[in-house]
Amino acid sequence: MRYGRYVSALAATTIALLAGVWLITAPWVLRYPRPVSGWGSMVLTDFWTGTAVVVLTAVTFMLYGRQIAHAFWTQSLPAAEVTEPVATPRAATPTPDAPTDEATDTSANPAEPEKIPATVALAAADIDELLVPIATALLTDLAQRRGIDGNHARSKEGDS
Amino acid sequence: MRIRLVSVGWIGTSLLALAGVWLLVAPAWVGYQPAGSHLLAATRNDLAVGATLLLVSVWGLFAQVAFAVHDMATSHPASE
Repeated sequence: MRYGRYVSALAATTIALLAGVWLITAPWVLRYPRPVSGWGSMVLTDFWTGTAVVVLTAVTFMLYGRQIAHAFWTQSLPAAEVTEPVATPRAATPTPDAPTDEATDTSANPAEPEKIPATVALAAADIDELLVPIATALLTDLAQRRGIDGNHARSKEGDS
Repeated sequence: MRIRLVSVGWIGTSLLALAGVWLLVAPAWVGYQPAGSHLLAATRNDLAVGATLLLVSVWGLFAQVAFAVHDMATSHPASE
């Protein structure tokens, strides 16, 4: 139903385009009475109104087309269907000296990188961003405690 | 995703509706339809095309709003 509004708009614009084309051709198809010289008010009215309608429909088509393209590419694609190839750590950082266990591991296929849904990849990146500061804080706290304990032990040794 | 009730294309569709109104009044406004006489072929054509343009444009505008409201209702977190 996401595209319903655009389909209805394009349908209305298409009908208007046909009406504009008909207005341009109607004076000759219906043989409007014309003065000896010139087109006459009937022909002029229909011809220029039809031309304006055709130009308007062209502009409207472009406006709706832009919106449809934007909605199609950025909004309405289901996130679960967007997959991007994510290389496994082993395939991403091969070390020349470390032998790989590709011969023994038959489940791994290095030619075809594992595909992970984009939503899962994004969630993993969020977790990494969340965990890195916590780990950094823990390490800093541990280092400080070790420094305090070391000083305490040295002072005890000095007392004895 | 943010759903807008109206879109830029509304301007074009609204102008098409105005063109329909113009076609409805043009025979009398321009004066090629004599008052009180039988309708000319040009007048009948303009009335038919003008009414079609007006109805189709108004329907297009209404349908867009209806679909936008529907999309808003279905994408609201409370409805999921």
